[in-house]
Amino acid sequence: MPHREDPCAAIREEFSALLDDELGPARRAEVEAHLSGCAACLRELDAMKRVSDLYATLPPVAAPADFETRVRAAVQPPSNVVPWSRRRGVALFTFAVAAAAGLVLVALPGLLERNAANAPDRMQTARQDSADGAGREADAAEDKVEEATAKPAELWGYAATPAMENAPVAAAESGFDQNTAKPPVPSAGGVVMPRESKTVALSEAVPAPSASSPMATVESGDFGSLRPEPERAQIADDEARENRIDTMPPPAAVAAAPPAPPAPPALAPMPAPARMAKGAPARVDEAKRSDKNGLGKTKELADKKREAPADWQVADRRFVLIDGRWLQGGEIPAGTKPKALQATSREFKRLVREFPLIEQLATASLPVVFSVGDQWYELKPKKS
Amino acid sequence: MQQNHHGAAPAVLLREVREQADAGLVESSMRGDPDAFDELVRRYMDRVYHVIYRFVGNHEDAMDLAQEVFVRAYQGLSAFRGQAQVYTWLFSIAANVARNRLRDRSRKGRDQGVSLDGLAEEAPAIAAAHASTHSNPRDAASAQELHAALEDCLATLPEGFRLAFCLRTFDGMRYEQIAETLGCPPGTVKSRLNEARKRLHACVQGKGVL
Repeated sequence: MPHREDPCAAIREEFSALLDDELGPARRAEVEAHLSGCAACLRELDAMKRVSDLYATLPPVAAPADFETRVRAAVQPPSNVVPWSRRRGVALFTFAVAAAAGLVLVALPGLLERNAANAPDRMQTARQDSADGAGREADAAEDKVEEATAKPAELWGYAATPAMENAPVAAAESGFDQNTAKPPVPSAGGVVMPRESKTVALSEAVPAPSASSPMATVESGDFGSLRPEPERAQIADDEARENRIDTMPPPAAVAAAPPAPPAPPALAPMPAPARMAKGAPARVDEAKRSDKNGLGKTKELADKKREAPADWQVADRRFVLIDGRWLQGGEIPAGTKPKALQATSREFKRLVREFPLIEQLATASLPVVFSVGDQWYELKPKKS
Repeated sequence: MQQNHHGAAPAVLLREVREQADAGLVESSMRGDPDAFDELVRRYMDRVYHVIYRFVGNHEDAMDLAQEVFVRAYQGLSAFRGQAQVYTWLFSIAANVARNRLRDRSRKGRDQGVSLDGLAEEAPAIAAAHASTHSNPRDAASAQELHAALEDCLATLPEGFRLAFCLRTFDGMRYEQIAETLGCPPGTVKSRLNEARKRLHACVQGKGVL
């Protein structure tokens, strides 16, 4: 007979039921009577309760915003809804970004420099006001970047898509103001990168008016600015949902941002400082919160995003709105060694499709580095 | 406790009303009312997703599996006779698809090192760590470590224990409902939960969390 030799064993088998209030009154009384005289069982019950309480602290995780749409599409085909398999990269990075600190693309401002010709007039004017010397260096840098072509196809084993080919133009249309972006600067105290020589090549390729930062980066909530408008809006809905449900944090760097940015003239009203601290404009947040069904209000969300100013300069930090998220110029902490994040060529293609700026970095043989929380990652090809 | 005029506690009455409403949605769906099925999805998608996510431990699989649950439910509407509650029926589908995915994954084996999926798996812990309650980076880091440890330990449980634990802990199911969902006696649920908690305690303690 079980437990004949150990009276505690039979009692301990009831501990979960006791904690979950699943014991009948009689059995409960028996167990409690035993516990009143058995310190060992009491300790074990306490341990079990503590571990149960710990797991109860894990935050709830809800379905993505477009879940209902996808189920509907799956049970009532045909539909023009984008298959989930095409969106995995988006979901992955969106989640990671919303989760912690945003993505950091090494030397993105430098890459975007070459797209200046298509930037809005306001940015053009500002660029003309900038130092001529820097402009000439930028031209030289552009030439160097463009020399490094077609490398990613060999590295990652894919053929460039039309979307990839259009990426530079689209990047310029995204409203990134290169003129005020913090440029990458080579430095002896710079970040130790796995592909250090390539990083140095980038640094050489970009003008360096300031020697304060070892490596220019852009912290962002998203790589992408180049997706078609409907899909961007849908992705923004995902992000809104995930932000709400997972109690997503403010990106660390943005959270440390200064108070309310000054309002550029002739632009939409500024978001509240609190919203800024959370890495997204209040207007967008509000639209996202109200967008429970995901479909009907995507246009409204997109419209609201367009109303927001394209960039802010706040206390020597510059924020740029791309695809509904605020990117911030920043630095990779000295001595950071990113963990290799392996991706197959298929995964890489998917990421490039969603975040074409990756294509630009890869084309220039530059490392794609970003952070999630305190951990830094570098996207690398997975060896088969 | 306050009683209504039928003598039932209000909470119980609400649950019964909800179950009747669920059954009505299933009937309407079977008659071809797409709005009814949409409502069923809206009603349960978050609960199903949460349990599946905790069971498989990553968003990519959770998304695929939760979607599959509702697709299978839709395809199996005609087979639903009302013997079970709608939500235990949905969760029994969820348990099946999640178990199958886990077995497929273990057959294929997993890559060493960090992968894209691996990053997604890390993100929830980080998200939790940076929740609004942790204004101090040290607190956030500590919460991150805690959640990562909890998720790691949960992943070590055998699937039967893990399923029972997830249904109980993350959806608050009663033992009888878990038994119905998993197709096993309530006594089995009790012993699985007991064993699951013992193992989790040992694992979490081994990681220095407790």
